[in-house]
Amino acid sequence: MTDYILEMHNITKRFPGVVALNDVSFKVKRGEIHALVGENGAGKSTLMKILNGVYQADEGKIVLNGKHTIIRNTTEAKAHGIGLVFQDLNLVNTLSVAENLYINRLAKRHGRIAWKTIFREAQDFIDSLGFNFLATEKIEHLSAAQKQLVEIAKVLALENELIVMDEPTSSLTTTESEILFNIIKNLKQKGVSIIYISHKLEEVFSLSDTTTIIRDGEVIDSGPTKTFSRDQIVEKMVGRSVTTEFPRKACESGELVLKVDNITRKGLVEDISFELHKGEILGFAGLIGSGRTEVAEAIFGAESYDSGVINIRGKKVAIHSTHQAKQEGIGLLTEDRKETGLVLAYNLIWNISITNIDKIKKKYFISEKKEAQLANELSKELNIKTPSLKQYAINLSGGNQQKVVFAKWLFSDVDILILDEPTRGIDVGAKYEIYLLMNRLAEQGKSIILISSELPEVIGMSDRLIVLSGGKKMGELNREEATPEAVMSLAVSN
Amino acid sequence: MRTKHVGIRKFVNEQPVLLLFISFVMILIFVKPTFVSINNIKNVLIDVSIYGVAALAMTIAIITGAFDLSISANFAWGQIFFCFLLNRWGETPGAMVAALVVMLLSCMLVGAFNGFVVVFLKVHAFIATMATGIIVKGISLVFTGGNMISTSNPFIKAMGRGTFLGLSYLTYIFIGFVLLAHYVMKYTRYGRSLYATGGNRKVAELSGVNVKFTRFSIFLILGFASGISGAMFVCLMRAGSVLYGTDLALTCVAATVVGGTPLTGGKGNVLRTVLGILLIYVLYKGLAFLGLQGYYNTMIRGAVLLSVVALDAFMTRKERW
Repeated sequence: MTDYILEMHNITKRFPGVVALNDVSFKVKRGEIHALVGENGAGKSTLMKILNGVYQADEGKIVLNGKHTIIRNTTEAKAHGIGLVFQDLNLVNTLSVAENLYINRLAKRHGRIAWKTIFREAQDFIDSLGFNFLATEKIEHLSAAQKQLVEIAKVLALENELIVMDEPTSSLTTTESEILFNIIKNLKQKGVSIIYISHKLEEVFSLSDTTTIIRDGEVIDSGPTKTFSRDQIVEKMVGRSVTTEFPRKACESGELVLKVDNITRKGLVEDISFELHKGEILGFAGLIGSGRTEVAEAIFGAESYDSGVINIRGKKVAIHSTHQAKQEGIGLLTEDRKETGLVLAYNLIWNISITNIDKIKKKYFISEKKEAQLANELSKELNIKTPSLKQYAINLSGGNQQKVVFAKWLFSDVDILILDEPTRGIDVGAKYEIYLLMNRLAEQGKSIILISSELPEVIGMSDRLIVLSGGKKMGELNREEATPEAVMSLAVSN
Repeated sequence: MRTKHVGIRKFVNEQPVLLLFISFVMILIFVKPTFVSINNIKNVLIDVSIYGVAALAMTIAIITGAFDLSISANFAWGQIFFCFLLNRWGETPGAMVAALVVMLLSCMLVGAFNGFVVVFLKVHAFIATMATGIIVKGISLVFTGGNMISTSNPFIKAMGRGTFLGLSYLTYIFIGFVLLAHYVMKYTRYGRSLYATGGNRKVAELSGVNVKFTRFSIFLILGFASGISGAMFVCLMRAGSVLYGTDLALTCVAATVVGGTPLTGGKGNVLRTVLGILLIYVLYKGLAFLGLQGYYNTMIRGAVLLSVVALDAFMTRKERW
């Protein structure tokens, strides 16, 4: 027995045109929590996919428990006791939690599936983890956070010795994250090793024993977490020093652009009113499920509203469709870029031009040359990192995908932009670029509604904040009043 | 990740259907050199042209994520109603144009009904259009009493018989529609909206594409195309009947898939479907020419279709994404 449960030696992986990993060595001790950090596209996911058998390394070897191991596919990875919690959910929506947990090893009795036993065992297991949902519930009825917990439970149920968690908290609320952290600490007590990938450095510091930093496919540094400072890690991740401050400065807001009065969607949001001015960033703060997204959907015409009045530039408009909202100059960057933001199987050019095909016409017909040229300009402006704009959206890292979503809406030339969680799951470097972009857009006279669950972000970037709770507006705060305490006390007051 | 292939390997990987097509024709020429005659080519192309117009519409529908089983019945209704109107309204050019327009409108009405049921009542296209097809077939049966309606209109006869540079007039009509469909799909906002709708309906809607309109309009196009195919068929047969073209819808789906447009939507193009339908009809005619008539022909047709699609899936599975 060695001290290391996993050793990846000198791993090199090349894709056409790029070296994704260059001579990377990565070792995980038995019973430690090992944080793996780096910007999107640095190579963390590629490394983990090699461990999981999705990709094969071009060079290098994997040593598991002291034994040289070749992992050809995910089934083999599972057989070797490697458990993975990925960001993308792999759940069958129409089946129950219990069925998803035990999907390929349902207990049988007399040749029939023993449903009673399965549901009872699943419920015991879920309760033991401290999750509050029923084993009989269908996945489709769970919230995004609960689905993520099921995904975690599914891996825990396998009782692996090595578990990889890729951004497990990206869709969890604070309470649920706390539960997860306790689980992770318990696992560590039992001698389980955990590779923990996260952009949230607070988590890295509070959880991990060791931290490895990857940049551009190479290991930059690796050592006990307590020997690093936060700023050191960030600097090593991005390769330059980065200000973690929010670049928003107070400014004079212009004329009234959007006025919303008493918008109501029965059972979801009630009597929400607010005003948005030219060149302003208005923050929507609140907990998950407080109704922020639901208001945005109504204004953008994605969902219908039951009552209320929307005024755009002093004109009363009833918005019935997204098509109409776009013509009125409203755009919505949805919170889930993979499901509702991008057509993953299309290239970047098509994804960008989708919002405004008329712009790429020459006389009557689409000019593909003009289309590529305009998309290229935006891609340069937003610093989208991709070998080519012909690349399919699915092949880009999260931060770059998010930039493509921005590019697509900048392409549409709308002047009211609703940003729903625009920095979710992307690294600090890309986040900062997006903040600067928001500033630039506001300076150009666009009006922005920023929905964010990250309190420092929504406070730091907004000129004004409204706080929602339980579908109601709890209050409105200006920049001076908006302290984290003030926002939180409003957010939990209903 | 895409891998680069050179020369023949690249061709085999990217164009398996074209390759099959060429090999099949080569085998035919080898076994029965007489197959490649001007007359045979002309006749195959006439079938391709008539069914091809409907196949273009089916391809566009599949790209958009829609589907229509009612075009077989709509095609038969188009023939019947066209013959009926031609017989009733006489042989002046005005009357013939009026007959064509009224018939096309009636076919588009069927399409509009499909669109309404699928898009607004949210019934799945498969079952909705199957039911509509049965209704339309019933209407045709009531209208004709189950009999064939023929026409002796001389202009129609001339359209069906006439050739230009050795090819039937009908083939030129088809080529016109191919170019039109290709241009619309590739170079117009409408075409791009159709791709986006099929690629991911939710994303398209949240990008401000008028998804309801694109989805509804597809059924109008399908109705229109079945009417055009019906009219072309009348030119050839100088008659209309419920019994003509009962397998049209599935042939069109087969041509689309054989051409390489995936059933999942959002991808593919109409030019590939031209290749698909060519392959299918050369196959039909070729097998008949080799002496495999009737029942055997049907069996082998099915088997060959399946092989083509399976081969295509096998060759291109890594390239699809």
